[in-house]
Amino acid sequence: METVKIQDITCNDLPWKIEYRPERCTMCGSCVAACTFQAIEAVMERRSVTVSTGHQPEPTQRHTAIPVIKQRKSLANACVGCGMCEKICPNQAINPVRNQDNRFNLLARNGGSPIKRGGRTNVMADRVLDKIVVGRISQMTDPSLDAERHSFDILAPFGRVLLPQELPFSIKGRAADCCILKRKWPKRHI
Amino acid sequence: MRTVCRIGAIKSKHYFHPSQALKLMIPQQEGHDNSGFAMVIQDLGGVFAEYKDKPLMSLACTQKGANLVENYMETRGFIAVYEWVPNMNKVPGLDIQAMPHYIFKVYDYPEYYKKASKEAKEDLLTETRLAVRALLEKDEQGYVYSFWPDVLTLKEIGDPRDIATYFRLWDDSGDMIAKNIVVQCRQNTNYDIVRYAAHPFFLQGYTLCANGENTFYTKNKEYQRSLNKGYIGFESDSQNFLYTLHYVLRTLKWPIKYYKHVITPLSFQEIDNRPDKAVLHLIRQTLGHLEINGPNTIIGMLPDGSMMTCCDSKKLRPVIIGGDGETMAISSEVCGLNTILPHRNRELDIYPNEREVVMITPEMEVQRWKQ
Repeated sequence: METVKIQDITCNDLPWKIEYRPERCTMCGSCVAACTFQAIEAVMERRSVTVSTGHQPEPTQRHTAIPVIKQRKSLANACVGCGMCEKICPNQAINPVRNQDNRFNLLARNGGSPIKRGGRTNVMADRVLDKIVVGRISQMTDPSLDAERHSFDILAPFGRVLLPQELPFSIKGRAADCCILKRKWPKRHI
Repeated sequence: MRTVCRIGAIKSKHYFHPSQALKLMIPQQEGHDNSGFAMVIQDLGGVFAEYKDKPLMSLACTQKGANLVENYMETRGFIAVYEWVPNMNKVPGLDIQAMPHYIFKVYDYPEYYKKASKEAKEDLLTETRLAVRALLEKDEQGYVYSFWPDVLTLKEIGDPRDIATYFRLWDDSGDMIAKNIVVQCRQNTNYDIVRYAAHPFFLQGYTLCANGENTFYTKNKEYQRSLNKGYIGFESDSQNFLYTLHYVLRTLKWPIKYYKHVITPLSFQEIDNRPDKAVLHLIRQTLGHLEINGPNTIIGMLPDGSMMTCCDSKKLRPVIIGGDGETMAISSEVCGLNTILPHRNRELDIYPNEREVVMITPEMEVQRWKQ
């Protein structure tokens, strides 16, 4: 049996589900060919049916494998509900249905991998702390990192910050001060 | 007071020998100091006196590297007019990791650049140096430190005394003399000892060495890389100080007093109490990425030969300026000054504070101002 993980994507997580009626399908393959998102594929499925063909009920169990059209369980190939399969199907055997209960927004924002909560699976994951760049080793080891020796006088600029060469400065006077020619931008520290 | 690594500079009205710079530095030795020696000298006398307007290339390389550079310079149209090869004193047992060749070569500008403007010539020199550096780096054939008129750079790994012996800097032969020397006796880096990481650094007339460290190295580096193609290397965090000095003075053409406002700006509270608060706020907003942090002191030399010094916003690395009016020196510790200038008036020594910038002009006038 195939391994199934709790957080594996299912069709129920996707914003559109494919409704498929195998009894109407002639396996012409038009829908699979028409789907630009490769949201559906032709696969073999096992069936176990009870059949009785005689005049009297003589039920027999028959195991068969039949070709069907199936939605792919993948965020990258999620159905967008364009309805091309429905348009092209000669037998009304297939159509997309909006899935109110989907978890697409939740799952897709993590690059397609489900958000994991706790557990050992997080150990191997790409974490924020792994992405911090340390400029110098001494930044972590030097006692000079003591807060007293550094200034933490930082404000976030709010609005447009001018490029240095765009600053409206002119050099004036014997003291060679920078003077502002005119102030024309909205700018404040928050 | 104890400092971590030592830097120094001497400026004089008269030509003097680099041995003076060694005498300034060696008394300050402590701990890991003296793992190397580097100096940038400007306003040269001696053998280079007649070539003041012509660019001088400072190279340390292998034989193959020397050939590569020679071919390259020929194809670019530079004409070699003078070459000074130091007469090496290869005493056994010296602590020096010497390169096979040290070449100090004066070139004349290519024919088609003879009438070019000063800026065009300067850009040509920088582009040529970067190209030569790339050429030598490709096969690890050597190092090019500077290519600029009237500027010579020497950087070596080893004990400064031995390096001086090797290059006969103690001999005072009169070959290599100058009016300005910026010097440092330690490979200041937490990484590999590489020759390019040794202070002082030089770019287009601006020389700078710094002790301590810059914890805003990564932030500075990433911003500076986008500003100028000459801002490369970053083997040491002190290159950030040089590139900012170059950017403020040469690219933005701001007066020097704004350099200190860029690297260690006043706190927002202090800015608000000043008449020029609009300008200072703008500088902080725009050049926030050039702010430095951490304990350090800077000694800089400008294209006109002025020297300046300032330190971090908490004065965690001290510096002292002293002299007799004919010769001025900047040094991390007073013992260095006492060695080379024993009869100066010590009461006139300047110990600048964390908001102060001290500048020695080419006329030996000492200017000091508060940020």
